[in-house]
Amino acid sequence: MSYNQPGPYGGQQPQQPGPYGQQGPYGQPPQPPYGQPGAPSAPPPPGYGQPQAPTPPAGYGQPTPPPGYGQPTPPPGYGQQPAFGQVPGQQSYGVPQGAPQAGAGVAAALQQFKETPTGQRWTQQTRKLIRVDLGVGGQPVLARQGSMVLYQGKVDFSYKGAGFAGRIVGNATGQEMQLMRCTGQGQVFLAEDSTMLHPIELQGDGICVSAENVLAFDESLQYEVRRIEGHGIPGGALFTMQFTGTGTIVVKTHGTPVVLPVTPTTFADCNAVVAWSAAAQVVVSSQVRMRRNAYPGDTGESVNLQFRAAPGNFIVVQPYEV
Amino acid sequence: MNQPLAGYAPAPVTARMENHGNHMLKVALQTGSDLLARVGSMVAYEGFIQYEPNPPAVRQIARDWMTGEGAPLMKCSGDGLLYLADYGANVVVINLNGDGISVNATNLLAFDAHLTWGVERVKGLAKFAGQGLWNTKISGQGWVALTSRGKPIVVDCGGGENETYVDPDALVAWSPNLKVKGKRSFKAQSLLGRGSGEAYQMAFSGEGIVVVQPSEDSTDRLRVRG
Repeated sequence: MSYNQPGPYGGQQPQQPGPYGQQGPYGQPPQPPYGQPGAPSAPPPPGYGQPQAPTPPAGYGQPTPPPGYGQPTPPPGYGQQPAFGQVPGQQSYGVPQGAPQAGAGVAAALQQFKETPTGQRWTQQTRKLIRVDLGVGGQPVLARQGSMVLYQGKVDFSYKGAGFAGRIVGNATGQEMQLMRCTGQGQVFLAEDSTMLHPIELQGDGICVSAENVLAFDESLQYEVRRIEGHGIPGGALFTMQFTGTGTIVVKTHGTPVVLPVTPTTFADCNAVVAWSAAAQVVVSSQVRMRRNAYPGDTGESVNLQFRAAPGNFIVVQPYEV
Repeated sequence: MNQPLAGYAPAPVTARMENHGNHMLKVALQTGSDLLARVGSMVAYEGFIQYEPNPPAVRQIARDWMTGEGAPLMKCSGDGLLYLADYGANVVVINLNGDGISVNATNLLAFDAHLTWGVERVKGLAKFAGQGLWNTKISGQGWVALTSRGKPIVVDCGGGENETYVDPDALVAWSPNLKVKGKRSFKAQSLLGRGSGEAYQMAFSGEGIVVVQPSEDSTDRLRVRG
């Protein structure tokens, strides 16, 4: 085919991939671009506005005169892809209507979401869902009220009060947890508000967590409210919940958190920090200014928490300021 | 042009319904095979697609109003690619292939118009709530897309006498051949403000699966305070 030489005006160049890399979208065979010489009718303008082009565009091998100047050149970008409904009778969207190769039916489609069986007490099913097997370990689990989404087996959910002193402390410090006790034999699936869940196993060490970021924990853990002292904090002090002992605690975060190792210069916003290892010492660092803090143009970042600890300690920060 | 964005270009069509990412549904529409989608779920489309409100029969209007399971649907027809999403919820695509599935109307995103579907009463729950729980059942040969707040989990009920208990707020879908019962873990101390937060569950037994989302949205579902 001697006519296949590229014309001097780019009329016969092979189709370039569009700027988004789509080349022959929707499974169509690549078609010649517009501005093809010698199409029997005037070349259709590119774009959507041509539901019926009367004839198919000319193929490459058609003996035609070289392109003239009068041919509209295709605009770059979108104009190069074949327009919708271009050729009557041709299936524009080559849609396979049959069953997918992976198999059909509800079971096959949902195979990827199956639960993962393990023999462990705490199993993370997805990033946002955790399963606790009450039969393993044989101790109850304390969980945030209403966080159960599903359970199998004989499980009893009962109210877990904080006690009289606990309620006083909780009210005063804001570090209050509305808990329920899950007892019995079976598996309980816990989740809340599609927040991300992180099981942390404690082996005699401790962790400080903001009470609102606690989803569930083994009843074997001890917990108490701790105070972070410092100046410049509205309300006078910050409070956190410290968990110690042996067991697992599930911390929830809004969004993917960042876990930072504690270095001499680790700071965090007290509204975004979720947890830190209890061995870390927390200092409130405030930028002292000679002006009031709440003036227009204030950065709002003047009170931070600084962490000091031996290497190996960490803090967890979520991308969400409460 | 913009290289980082180029990675989000749509992949070539391989099936009628596909995920584009986890949160968006891509439907390849053709003349003759229409689609029913939740009203307002369209985020983009290419090609010639027309939308019309699903002309509901009077009987169905009355039923929607009565049951609260009225998912407002629109009929999409034409040729092209249709992109659907529902406020960032995960989208699960199922090829039914003769199976059936029972879905909460709030979790239904789109399905083929030729499927058999209808609002039906969930058996076994009537005596617990005033009017019982109503659900949308879909079956036939075709595609269904569900939404889930967060990646869902599918639990096999395992058959036999073992029951699986689900928080109704987290329930997305289940196999229609499962036996459903209501279970109330209601205690007198719940009245004193000492409830466990889990007042009411649905118990499933038999052969089949239950789809659960890791979030408890309380939008028009059955709800009993405790």
